[in-house]
Amino acid sequence: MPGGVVVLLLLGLSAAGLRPASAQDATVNLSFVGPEQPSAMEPVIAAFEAANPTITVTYESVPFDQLNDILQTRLGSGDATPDVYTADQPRIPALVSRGFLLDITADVGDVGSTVLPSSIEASTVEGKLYALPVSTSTQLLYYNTDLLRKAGLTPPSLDPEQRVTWEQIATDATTAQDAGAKWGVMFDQVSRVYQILPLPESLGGGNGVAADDELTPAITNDAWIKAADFYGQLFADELAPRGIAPEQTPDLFANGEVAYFVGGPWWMSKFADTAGLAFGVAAHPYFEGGEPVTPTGAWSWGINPQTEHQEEALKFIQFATLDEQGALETAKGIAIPPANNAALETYLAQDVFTAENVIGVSDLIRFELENTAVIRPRTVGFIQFEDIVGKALEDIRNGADATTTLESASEELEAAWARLER
Amino acid sequence: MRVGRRAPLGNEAAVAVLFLAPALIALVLFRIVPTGYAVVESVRLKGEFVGLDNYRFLLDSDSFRRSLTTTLVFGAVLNPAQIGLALALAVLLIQRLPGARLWRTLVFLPVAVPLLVSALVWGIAFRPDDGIFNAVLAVVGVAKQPFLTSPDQALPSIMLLASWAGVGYWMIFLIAGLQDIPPEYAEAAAVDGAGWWRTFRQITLPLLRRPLAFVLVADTVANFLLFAPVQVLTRGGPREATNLLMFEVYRQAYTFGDLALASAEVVVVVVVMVAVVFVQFRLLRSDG
Repeated sequence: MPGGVVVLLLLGLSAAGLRPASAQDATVNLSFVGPEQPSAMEPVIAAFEAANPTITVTYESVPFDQLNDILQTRLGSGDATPDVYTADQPRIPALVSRGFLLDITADVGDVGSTVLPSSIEASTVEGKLYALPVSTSTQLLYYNTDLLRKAGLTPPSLDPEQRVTWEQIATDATTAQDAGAKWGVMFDQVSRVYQILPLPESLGGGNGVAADDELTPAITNDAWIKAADFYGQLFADELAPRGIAPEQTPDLFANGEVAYFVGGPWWMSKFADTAGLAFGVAAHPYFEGGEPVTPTGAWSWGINPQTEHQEEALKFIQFATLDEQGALETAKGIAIPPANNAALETYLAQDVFTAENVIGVSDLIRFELENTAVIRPRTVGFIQFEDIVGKALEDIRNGADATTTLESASEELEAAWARLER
Repeated sequence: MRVGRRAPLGNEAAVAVLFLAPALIALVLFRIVPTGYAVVESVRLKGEFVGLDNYRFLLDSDSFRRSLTTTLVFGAVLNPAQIGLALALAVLLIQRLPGARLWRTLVFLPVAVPLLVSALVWGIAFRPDDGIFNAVLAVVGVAKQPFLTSPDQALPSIMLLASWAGVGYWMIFLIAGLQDIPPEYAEAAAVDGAGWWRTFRQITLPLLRRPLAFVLVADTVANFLLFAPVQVLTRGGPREATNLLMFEVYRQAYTFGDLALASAEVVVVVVVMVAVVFVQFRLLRSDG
């Protein structure tokens, strides 16, 4: 009996790691992990391989929600692969503190004029550069032209000086819904810190972390509670749907079910290609009397310190970010604005950004990146922050009281961060 | 003669060891060693020995205590329900009914679907506004249910999914057990005038004890370690309602990178599970 019991008991407690065989031939094969679809990485990999015939790149796509966990598993066990991986910029301090990113300061030199300075800052920890920024991001307010017309609503303004307030959006969303829209308003990355942080920030509530201590949460002030209340109320009033995962939200807008949709510029092509969808773009909303704030930050690509192909890995990430052509090939696939200055100009000149229904959006994106963009908190505890605050937002979305939920999230965060200080 | 008998016996033992070796090696390598590793890790922090500090942290953690309670409630409700259902289905589908084989296949079919895929499909079915469950409920006049978005319904929803995926599997073992019972017993009982229920209670159930014991223990363990649906659908929420222990362990280890705390949690999981299974074995043994 005992033997049998033990087998059953320990069932599933072990995790088997997959270790791809390294190439034995003269060409070096780089292993690369990221959240994008494999097809999205094809252009930059093909261009890089053409320019470097002795290096091949094998891309492995993992779901966004599991990227962090998978990297933790593989890098934490000291695996030599992936050689290169995509690092979410706010997670870089945590990745560095765990020893998961190679210091590339000396190899790269000064690149402040080649890529956006803010994205270099987001890849730097204590003066050292640990990754190269591939992309940058902002958020726009999309609206369904037909649904607004049916409700007799004037489309919100694309001019950042005339941007619409959240209060107005809530009112207009109700009007649109009364006139037949299935949903009044929806967020692209619903309940994720990236997407929702601008709400408390707009009310002056700060980024969730105390200004003087990166391991003290600050998510229970009045602005945070007011913002969270507003967020929860949109779902309680059924202006926005519960139970829909972030991956599924853009389809709601594309299907013509949503009047207002807060989302990234990377959806522009998808929406433009959707037959029967008439849409326009406006500036990201803010709270009346508050500050206009937009989310930003995106991906950097970094190198695993255990890699056996440091030189080749470096070549690859430099090509994808610092080389204008390489940066464009990267942007072509992933559709997120490139952090490379020259490539960003070309990106914003694409047809989808100059079409009649979105005239002026390129200037809007530039304006937001330069004036209203606020990065997520830079703390070694960001991973805990993102997980715990993200869950609290989702609970508030599902009807939990904003005050008590934020208070208990704050306690949980303190306990989790106390582990980091030991 | 004596020598002749002894030699094959020795050979038999050697052959048995040889056949068992792969399983035993895998057992040690993939089960015993990692468990030992977890025990060692659980008394360390950042490379230093810290005694029971990690366990003390766990005991102080409301979140961990809630997770433990949730897991125990989950098992206490789900295990009897699943086994009862599997047994009922086994008894029903062993009858010579038209289409019995087809029904058996249909009940077993979900087992062939990876749990991850099942979870994704059920996740869409559970969607409050356009999911199929609420569509069906609307037809019979029941109001829209929140399912996975409600702290009261999320855990039962996961139970439903887990049962859909698991009951067919446990049913197969019980069908095999039922078919092993010689029909003469039931015939003799019938001759003595015993009804169906009495035959089932006094003949079928006692003779089914061994497969039932296996199913009970294996099902208990499987439900203790349930992970995929939680990770895919609720990530422990809403309001920690589905924060089962295996997900909590995963979260500490792979989201937060706190291997020491995760190891301590694994050790607690193993200890609690051993205790539960030990009680189950004692109960089933004293029965006979």
